[in-house]
Amino acid sequence: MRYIIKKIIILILTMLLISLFTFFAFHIIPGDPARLILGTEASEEKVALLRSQLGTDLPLSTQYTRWIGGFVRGNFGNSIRYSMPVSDLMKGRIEVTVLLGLMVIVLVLAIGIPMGVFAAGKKNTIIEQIINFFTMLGISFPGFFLSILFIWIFGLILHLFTPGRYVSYENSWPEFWRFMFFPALAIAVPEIAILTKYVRTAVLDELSEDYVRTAHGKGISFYAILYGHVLKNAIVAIIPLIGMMIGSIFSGSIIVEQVFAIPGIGRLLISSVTGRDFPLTQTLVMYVALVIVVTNFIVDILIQVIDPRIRLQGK
Amino acid sequence: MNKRLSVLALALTAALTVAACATTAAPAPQASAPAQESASAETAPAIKDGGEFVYGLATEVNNFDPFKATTADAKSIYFNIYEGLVKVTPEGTFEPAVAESYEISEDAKTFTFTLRDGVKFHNGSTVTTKDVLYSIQLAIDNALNGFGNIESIEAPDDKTVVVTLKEGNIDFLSAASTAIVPEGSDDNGEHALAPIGTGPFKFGEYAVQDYVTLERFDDYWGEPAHLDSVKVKFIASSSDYQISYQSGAIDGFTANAGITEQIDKNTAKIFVANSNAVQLLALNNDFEPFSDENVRKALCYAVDSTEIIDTVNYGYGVKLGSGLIPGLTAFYDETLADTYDVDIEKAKSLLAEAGYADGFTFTVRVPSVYQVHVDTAQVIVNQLAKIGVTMNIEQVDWATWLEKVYSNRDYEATIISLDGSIASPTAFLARYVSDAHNNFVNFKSDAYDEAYKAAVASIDEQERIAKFKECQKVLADEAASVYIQDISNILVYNNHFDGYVGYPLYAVDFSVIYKVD
Repeated sequence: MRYIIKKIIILILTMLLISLFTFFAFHIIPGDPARLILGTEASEEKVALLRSQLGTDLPLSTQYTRWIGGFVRGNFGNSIRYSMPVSDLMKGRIEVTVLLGLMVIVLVLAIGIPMGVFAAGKKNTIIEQIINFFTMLGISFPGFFLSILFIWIFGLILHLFTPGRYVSYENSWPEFWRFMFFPALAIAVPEIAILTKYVRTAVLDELSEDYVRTAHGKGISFYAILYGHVLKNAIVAIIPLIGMMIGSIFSGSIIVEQVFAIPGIGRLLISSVTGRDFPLTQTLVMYVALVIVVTNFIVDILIQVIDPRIRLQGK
Repeated sequence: MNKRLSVLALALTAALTVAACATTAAPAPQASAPAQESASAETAPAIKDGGEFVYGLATEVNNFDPFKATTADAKSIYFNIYEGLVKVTPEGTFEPAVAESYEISEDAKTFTFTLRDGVKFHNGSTVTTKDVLYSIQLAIDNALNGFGNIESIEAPDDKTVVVTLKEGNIDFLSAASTAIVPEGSDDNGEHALAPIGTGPFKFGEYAVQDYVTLERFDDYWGEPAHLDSVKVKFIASSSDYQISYQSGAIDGFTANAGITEQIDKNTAKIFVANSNAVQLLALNNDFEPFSDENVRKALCYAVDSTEIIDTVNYGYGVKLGSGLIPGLTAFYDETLADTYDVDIEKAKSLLAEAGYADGFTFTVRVPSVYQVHVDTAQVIVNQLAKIGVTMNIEQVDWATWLEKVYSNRDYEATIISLDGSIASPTAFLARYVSDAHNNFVNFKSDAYDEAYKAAVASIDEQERIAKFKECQKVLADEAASVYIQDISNILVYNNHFDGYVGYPLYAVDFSVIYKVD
């Protein structure tokens, strides 16, 4: 219990630190939202008028306490560029990004784990070399490059989806999944490559354990050992990695949503940064941070439930 | 915790990087001037009413309030929703719209508008003088250009609105093209997301970061639109126009000239239009070498606009020598384009005269969102090297540019296109008056101030034209900056659509587009 409380305190401190960082980072970089909205032609009075309407002319400390105070109470304020509350904007966009993220996770797990196990089974063969080659390739490809490649190959040549024509799940689930498959794959490929390598190493490590030799000596078949014992133990080693992956899936989707023009959290974040839409950016960053921090918190708890030895280290 | 924070930092860095290179921002150029080229000029097909046109737009329009949202792209869309008492014609003059006629007093102080009978708003109600008074008050409250000069507004009867100005200004007519909206329709800021106007299209549905639809307004007082609806689809960046067009996700878009090299001209209709913006190498006249007129002139002689147009714009651009767009034909002085023909020797001797015989070094701050300006900078680096001047390029993001360069004037030189919010020479020339709030090049000239003041005060059309031409000449003669070109824009439709009318300001007129088969 003490372990959990300690973790929760760290979690809150992390969030507070992140809120300070994001708030001041976006106020240090140049750019006046009022001027951005009104453009070069607007008169000074008009810009000043908008500035006071937006509250961006107040002292920074006032702006911060106002924002964080509202945030804690669930009031995220109004977006500067979109004339609506931040919470309304996030509704409908969170679902898109979360669905995209889920699809990525499913792809990563469904392909990464079997591939890793398969690769471990083929140690010192030409097949292992081939898998190694492709995992290296997968890790090296940046998401935006894969996105462009997929748009070109699957969209413009093979016509498996229509680039630029996003279909909301509210209109059609099959069309939605069809459009989302390729962005999800673009985010998933590097993650699949990492997971494959990781699983392979974990399985090989496990295979060199004494109990495996003993089981082998007892005449249990290699595959029975692999699936009956080794895999289960190896997965424990993979759980923290999956926690880390949530973070990179989020950062991957920020870029990929932009390239595929998907109206999700990532694209909203980018346009809010270029538009200096501070209330929106801050809330989005806090949201993403919260998801990552909480996921890692859950992973920590999960691991220690599975393997109580970690609790001792925690003390 | 370190790792987790760094993951987040990575995500943010990525976001910022992409943001910097992927968005096109506010005053991007757009449509005007009659079409000069139609690639697939088939035998005129019969106009067929109906259908939906999907128009791609690389920036997102997220506010439809005509008194607030003034990004150039927003204006180009709401041109179809709103109308003023008068509206701009393709030639740059003004014709009655919501008003049936207008009268301007001799001293240009009193503008009398007579309302047209039976003009309907999109909500079904008929336009009354109350609506007009409300709209003008909104324009005053929002400090729109030209409205600060209003002394009083009144409606002597239910068909007439009289606007009295503090100082006579014939140019108020261009301000009268500002939107007319129903009385009380924006009391709670509703315009932003539920705009009501009198234009040929009414606002349909808006999906954040996805699209906005416009539907034909059947009770429109004028020539009704051909299309049933227009879907303005927001695409991620201008580099995605071609992909979305080729995949069929959009039917048309406006882009830089480079696109003509990538589009199959047999299946596309291509219209070439001036962007109605003045591209210039703006020199901060307060910065040490540029405070010397001879140095500025030397740069004018060294920069070859024609080469820039040919290499950066594939030849699509109109060479400029001063600060006004050719689209405002009545006021534009085309002879100034040749004020400085390339002359390296003359440039060198001017530099020597100013005490910079060995050249000097300066930094040009270019907004990275505009590839065309970045490319232009690269060409100019080579051109200036010939007279021993070293130009370093510093790319900044749009928000930074606006604050540092435009608002704070903290720069040595920059490259930008300046557009006008209204079809009036004042929109382009007011900024060079010595004490103008937006005189970001810090140009100071008594001759200019005098000519501009006379032009604005004049109520005689011929004198106004002469004085505005004089303004342009001063800008050229005193080399306020290095004027380059009015970049041409390319409008591309697929072969299912046709119809195009250009205006000397930033607008896309959807009402003239029709479907062909």
